[in-house]
Amino acid sequence: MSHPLPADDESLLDVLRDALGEARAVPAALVRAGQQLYAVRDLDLELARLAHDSTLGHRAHLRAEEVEGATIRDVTFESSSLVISLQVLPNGAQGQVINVANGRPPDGRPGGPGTVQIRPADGEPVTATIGEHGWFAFDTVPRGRVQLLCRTAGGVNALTAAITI
Amino acid sequence: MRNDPMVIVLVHRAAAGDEPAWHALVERYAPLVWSVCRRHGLSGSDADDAGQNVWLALLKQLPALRDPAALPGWLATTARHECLRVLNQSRRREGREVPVDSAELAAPTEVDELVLLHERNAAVRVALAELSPACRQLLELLAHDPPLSYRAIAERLGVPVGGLGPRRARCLEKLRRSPRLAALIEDDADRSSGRQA
Repeated sequence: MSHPLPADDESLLDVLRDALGEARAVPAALVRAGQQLYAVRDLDLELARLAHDSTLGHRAHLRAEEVEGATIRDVTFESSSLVISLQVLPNGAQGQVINVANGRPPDGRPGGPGTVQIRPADGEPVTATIGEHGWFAFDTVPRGRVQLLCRTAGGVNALTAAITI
Repeated sequence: MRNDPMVIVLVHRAAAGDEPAWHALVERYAPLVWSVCRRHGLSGSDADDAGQNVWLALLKQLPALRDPAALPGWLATTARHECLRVLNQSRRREGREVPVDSAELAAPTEVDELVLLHERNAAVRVALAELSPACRQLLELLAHDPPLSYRAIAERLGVPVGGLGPRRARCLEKLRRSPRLAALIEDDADRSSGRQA
């Protein structure tokens, strides 16, 4: 069983209007996020949601793209094993990765060593090393819509939700 | 549209490493995923969260997808579960004890209905995209939201108003005859003659 097509032209045009309208209503970010996953399909990924963004008030209710960045911006992502905090500075960025697989902060362990990438929607990713204590730093940060990809020596690969820097 | 050959081809190609095929799959099904999210009251970063997880689940599922024709139903069910997960997560963060009960959300039958509607709409979009540029342009203007007057459409196309009626009929007929829509029409014929699959 499926939705039949109407026989008369006027109703068929209504179907067409509906079909085109529903495609237009989809946020572009939802489509892009899905399409970009393909580049990292070979990793055993876990996804990290946006848990806090200082430019969005206490809770991340809003879409990050809609808000201009502050001078120093604090962003936190959470996946099932990692909490990734990122501070976007006027020049560069820094942050820390905490492994919370066996306990929530302050009980979590440093998430390092490993690497963290900032992956722009278009262009080359930049990579930094996660130190033993979980800290990382970037001298330069790609602008625009980015995702972070954390890969720890413990074997966790976490891809964050996209934010706009 | 349980047997849309296009979806089967896209799934096999995407599983075999063809990135454009994956992009096309995401584009085709994003309206379905989005409307399940909306149906559950999700938007902003909550919808991003649910959506990302649906796409990741699909990506992991691709090689094992034995019946690609069942994909829309699978996606809608997965989207529904992800929306429930996100809603429960945000209730826990807000310190609310009561987990979201699946009964208070979109019923599975409602989701089935969404799947059928979206498959029809996806097939219509593909059929439209495959028409001649002239027909596509005319039908897009005729389906404009809000509707445009015939005069406005004729002006945009640079053709006399009097010619629009016959052209409209011709282009809609071509749309109806698109192989992309054949399954819809056959299903309908089956139903009206009492031979339900």
